[in-house]
Amino acid sequence: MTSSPPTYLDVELALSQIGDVEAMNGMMVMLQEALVHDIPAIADHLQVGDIASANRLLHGIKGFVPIFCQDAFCSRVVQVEAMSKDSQSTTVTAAYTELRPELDQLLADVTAYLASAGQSV
Amino acid sequence: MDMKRARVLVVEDEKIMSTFIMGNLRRLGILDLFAAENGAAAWRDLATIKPDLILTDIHMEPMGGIEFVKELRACADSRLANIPVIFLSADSSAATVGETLPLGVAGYIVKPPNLKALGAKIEQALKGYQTTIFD
Repeated sequence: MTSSPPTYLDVELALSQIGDVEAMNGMMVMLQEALVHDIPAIADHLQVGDIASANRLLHGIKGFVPIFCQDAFCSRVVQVEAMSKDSQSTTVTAAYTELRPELDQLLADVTAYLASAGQSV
Repeated sequence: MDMKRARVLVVEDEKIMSTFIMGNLRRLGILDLFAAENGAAAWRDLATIKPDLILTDIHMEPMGGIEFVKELRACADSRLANIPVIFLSADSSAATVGETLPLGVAGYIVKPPNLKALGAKIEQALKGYQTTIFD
């Protein structure tokens, strides 16, 4: 028996904060686009030691994940974003390497939601 | 001033957050809305838009929210210089909040804004209250 991967997208939470399904679906498309770009871009920036650029992207993610995700996951994003302000490159890279599978899962959740809602891009 | 009649300028570089804030403002009945993607764009369009209230992010390129509001407060046109400003930021550090306080801030809301808190803070701002508390 295989267990399901943890789900990071909280559709009910997002709907309660955004107000209606149509607006939420539009924002899900934006979220998908942002994650498709930002997840690998952060890794690329860290790989070349460009912590400032990685921080800018993490800061953006930190701002919008609470619209779509539960506090426990948001807290982990906050921790990594905080590290990217003043920690050494190797420390931030290690922390992001741990966070990335969760961001990838969030992207998978969003993609699956949009497919089920007929909104895939 | 009735919140629903206010003209509001939202300064935000993150597309998702800008959409979220504008949507929440519409839910509050505020329909006269303008958006700028950073402080420089807001500064450029300010005299044309003449907003009653500005909601601005802080960390933006090429001009951030704090720099934008410093320019605003130094503006020769007192109608523009005195526009109430609410900061909206994911940065809740004491250092950043402290930087905003001398700027005549009407509010500091940590993103993402809660609809009720946003509405209350806008009502206060339009009545001319300033605050040292962030939500």
